[in-house]
Amino acid sequence: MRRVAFAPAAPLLLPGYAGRVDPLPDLRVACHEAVAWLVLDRPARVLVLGDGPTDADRARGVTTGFAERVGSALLAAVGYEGEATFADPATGPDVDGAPAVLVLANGSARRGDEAPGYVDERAFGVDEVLVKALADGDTAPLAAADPVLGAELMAAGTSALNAVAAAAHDVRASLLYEGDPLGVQYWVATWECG
Amino acid sequence: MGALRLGRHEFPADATLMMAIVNRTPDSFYDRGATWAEDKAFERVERVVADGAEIVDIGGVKAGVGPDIDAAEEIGRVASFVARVRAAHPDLVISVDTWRAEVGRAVCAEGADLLNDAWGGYDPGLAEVAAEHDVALVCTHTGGLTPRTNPYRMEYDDVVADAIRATVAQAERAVSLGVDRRSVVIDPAHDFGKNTFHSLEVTRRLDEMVASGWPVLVSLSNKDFVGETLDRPVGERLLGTLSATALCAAAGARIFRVHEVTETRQVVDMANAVAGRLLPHHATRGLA
Repeated sequence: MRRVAFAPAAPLLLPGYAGRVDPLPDLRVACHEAVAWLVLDRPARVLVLGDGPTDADRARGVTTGFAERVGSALLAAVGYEGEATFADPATGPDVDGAPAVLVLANGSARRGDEAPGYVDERAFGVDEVLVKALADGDTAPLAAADPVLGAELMAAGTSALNAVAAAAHDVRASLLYEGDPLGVQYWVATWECG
Repeated sequence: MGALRLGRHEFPADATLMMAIVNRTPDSFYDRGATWAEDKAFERVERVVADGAEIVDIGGVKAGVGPDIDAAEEIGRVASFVARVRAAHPDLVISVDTWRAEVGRAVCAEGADLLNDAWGGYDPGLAEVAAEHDVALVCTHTGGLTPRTNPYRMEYDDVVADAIRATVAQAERAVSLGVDRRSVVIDPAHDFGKNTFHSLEVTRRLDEMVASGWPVLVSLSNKDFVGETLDRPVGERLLGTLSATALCAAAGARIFRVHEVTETRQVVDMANAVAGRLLPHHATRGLA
């Protein structure tokens, strides 16, 4: 694994859910910058890591989760023409063997009165640790992130963070975006591994 | 539907446009002379521009029956006013509501972009003026009425078919005279040569006019067909007007001639968004 890019699994990044005015242009620019960097060397394959559809999604007839859709859309937006393979970490993908990994993950959606999940005071401490780890290229806190707590905090892709942290070493990290403009903790980061 | 070219202004194929009525008359039915004074009319222009109107439609003669206003008097009311608006608002489309070629020539010389021939080609010279000055033209259906007369016992075998036939014939003639094909608009002209049943039918079947391929203008604002339908006097017809507006927008009308710009813009945008022709302004609900 040489390069990793992190972006939120936010459906508002999908072209089909765009309005006339982009609510978060800075986030979109950062995502495109990170993903463009990810595929700069034109890897033959990109592993897209994130949550697959939930049981509730499947009950509504949805078989492709937002992580996969947003990952595909971001790769398409930067003109990537290689093969993108989506995997939920629960299926045991070979993360270490992938030259480029796009991780669709975000922190809690319970960070304010207007947030999708209202407020859970635990969210702020948990997210802060993850943002710092992403910025510093520090694998240990990401490897230790608890998917159960993540689910309670309405985070996305916590297992993907675990999987990538387990495979990464000698990381040179760059945090391109960090914020919670809609009550959801977003981050965009790139990791180059040694 | 294609791009629109209205004089010096161009609009893309998916644009809908608000045409705000500005009367330089002492006796028009809705405002009753509120903008008769030139400064009041100019204030109205400023207001509708601030409200987002792309077009102003300046009229110097009341559409309904009333005292005779000859061409010289009409020119006196509108031509210098067009010049003043042109100077103040270079990006605004200036339309003049007139049936007279003589008036059309005078206002084009002052910077008008569009001639709104509200009386259905009564003066065939008006289309020639549009061609001469390379401005746009609205072709309307009046059932052959003389300007400023009311319908009395008028009947159609099929009012929509007649409206399409008449307006498309005027449109084709205008193009044959040299008016840019992108600069010709058709208008079924609600209430003009029509009883309320006719105007309701034209509204219901507006998609048939849209299917002609010519861009369609509708002028519904506070008209008698709304008043009769809902039993509301002038001044209480906004909801009825906007309901009909929504239906016309859904059917694909492009230009809306209105008294109330802000309200109409919201209704037209909502209808077009429902129809899938306009994206929401922004969207984060459920999407963060």
